[in-house]
Amino acid sequence: MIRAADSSADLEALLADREMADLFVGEAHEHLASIEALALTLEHAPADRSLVDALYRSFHTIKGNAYSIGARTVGGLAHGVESLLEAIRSDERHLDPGEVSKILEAVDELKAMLDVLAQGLHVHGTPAGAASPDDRQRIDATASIKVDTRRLDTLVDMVGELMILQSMVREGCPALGESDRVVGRQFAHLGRLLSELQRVSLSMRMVPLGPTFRRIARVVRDASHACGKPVDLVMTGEATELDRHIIDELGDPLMHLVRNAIDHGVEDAATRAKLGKPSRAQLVLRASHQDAQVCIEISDDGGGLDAAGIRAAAIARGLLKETDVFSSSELHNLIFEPGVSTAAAVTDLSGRGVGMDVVRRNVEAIGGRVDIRTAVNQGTTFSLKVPLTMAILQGVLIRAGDERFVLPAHVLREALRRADCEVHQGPGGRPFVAVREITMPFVDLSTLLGGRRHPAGDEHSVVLVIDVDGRRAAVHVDGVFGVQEFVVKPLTTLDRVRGFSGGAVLGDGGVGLILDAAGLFELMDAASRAAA
Amino acid sequence: MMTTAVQASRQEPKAASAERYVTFLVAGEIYAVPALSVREVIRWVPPARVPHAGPSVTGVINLRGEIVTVLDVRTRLDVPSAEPTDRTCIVVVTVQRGTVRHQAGLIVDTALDVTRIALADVQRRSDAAASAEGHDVTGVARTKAGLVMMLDVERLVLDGIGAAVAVEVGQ
Repeated sequence: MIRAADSSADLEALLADREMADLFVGEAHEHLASIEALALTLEHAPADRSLVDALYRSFHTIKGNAYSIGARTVGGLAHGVESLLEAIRSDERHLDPGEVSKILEAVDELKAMLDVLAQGLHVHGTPAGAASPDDRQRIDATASIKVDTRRLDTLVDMVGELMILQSMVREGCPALGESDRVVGRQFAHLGRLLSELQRVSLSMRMVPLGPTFRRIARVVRDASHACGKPVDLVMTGEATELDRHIIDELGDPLMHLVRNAIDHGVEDAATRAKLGKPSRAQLVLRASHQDAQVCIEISDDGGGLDAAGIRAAAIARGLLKETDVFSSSELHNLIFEPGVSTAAAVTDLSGRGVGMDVVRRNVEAIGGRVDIRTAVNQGTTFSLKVPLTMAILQGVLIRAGDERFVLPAHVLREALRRADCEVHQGPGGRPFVAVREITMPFVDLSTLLGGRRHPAGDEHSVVLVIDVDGRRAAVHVDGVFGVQEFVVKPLTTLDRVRGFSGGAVLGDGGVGLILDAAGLFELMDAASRAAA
Repeated sequence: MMTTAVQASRQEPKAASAERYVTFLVAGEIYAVPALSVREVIRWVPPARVPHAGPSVTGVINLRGEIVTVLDVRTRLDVPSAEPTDRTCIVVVTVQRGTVRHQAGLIVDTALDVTRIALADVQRRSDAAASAEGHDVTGVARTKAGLVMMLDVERLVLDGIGAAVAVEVGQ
């Protein structure tokens, strides 16, 4: 193992030329990422000599750069691997799995060293006279520019404001187009340009899933070794792009699902042979665009979820009673409850029943959702549907009493006319409705939020079925204005008020609070506790 | 209170202890907040109510794309509430607590002007009087325009917003 002290001489050398040092660290990281991907591919295609050559070149470059800047520890380590690869090249033999592991270990060590160096560079700050980080826009091989993400966020915010201002102007003078054709045309043109500007500015924050997928490939390899289960990973859609903020939040849930699939999803080789399955399990990681969302699927060809086992675990945890009747899909969803695990044994990787609840929480925190499809002996697929960006929300503008709110579209299951819903009085006088034979509590949004009650039941009045984690409610509202995209703004000083996740600036310049559906359920619970 | 005095003497050493204040009218009385804390004064726009927020939170407004909490100064000062008129204004102020900058809009009957008030002209309320008549007024100044109530803008804003938190937690 490499300790910080080992590379202190390297740090000293790097500090002598700050600008080169940053460039070196950045480039080395890029090489290491491609080395990792190459090594993993090589493991499955050991005969591919071009991969060995590419690996050799990458280590050679790292070594050369390191020596030229004076980072001798880093250079020495890269040199060691380079020599190993050199020997393999000249002997014309294949890398064995042990050697691949050795290379990956070297990658880890080099990454750790680079992190120590980067930290050291950061701690020592920018020396006087050197360019500040803001002025230094580095150009890499693909002629792109590295920009501080905060600058991009500011740009996206400003474009959002422009869009709002434009719709305010449009609503402010509806006769604009009629009174003057030229002005009307110019105004329409302005609108198109603004939409395009918004699209482009949001796209600058978009990054491909590729690097995340590569990290997952490494996790798959390590987990498959640790469990002694040979697993082939198939990845598609690495080029799918998402907002950087969303990708940052997706890393942990994906890692967890992948570990879980290998640990519990797929059977060991002996069991697979008995079932007539190929001895190597297959894990598929697939990303694709679906409407305005991105869907990421993790499929294994393992044994599928054990509904009976989940049921037993849920009963043991007191989540279910022996007599409760649950559909299999409802049972499957229970694995997202804290403490429910179907793993026969707790391993280092997973099985403690912690994690799946975190997976769902993290995905929902970014406005996404997790679905499960499973079949016994055929496997399980987890699909994560997430929005492309958090700056824009797909929502429904609704009216409750004389107030307007925004409901995130992803919690909305269906909308019914108030006249088509029969409200029953349940125990304790709590109203409920049955929608397609599912009973759920019925609430009036305006009453729940303490608003001034509007004369109820006119022809615009609608009942919205919302669903959070499989928990449903029928919410009565006084009007629905259809699905739109909203620019999301934080409620900075009031962020601890329950029931709202932010604010959206509406077309007339007013604010529509964005309902947080989980918070609404909390308010409903609080209201029924108060009534009891 | 003390901090504003210190700031004033640091920023304008020559003007002795005179500091600039923004004055406005609430229920017939003149009130003042330090001009340094005022970001801008805007015409009244109807705020969107924030359900389950505190009693002094009227709602939130959009200030050029930023969402700003609006406080009802009348509720804070314990005077009867009033419907907005065409002279009603929102005084947008910022206060700093630690590293966090809080921003809020204060609903006032009408904004008056920016005046210099010398600290020597301010008669501080005793602690007993302050606690009896509400914390937000810290003293009274005699000016050419008449008596001016000096507001502790920091306390007004932080307590006004904090009240929202207290109600929420108490549920």
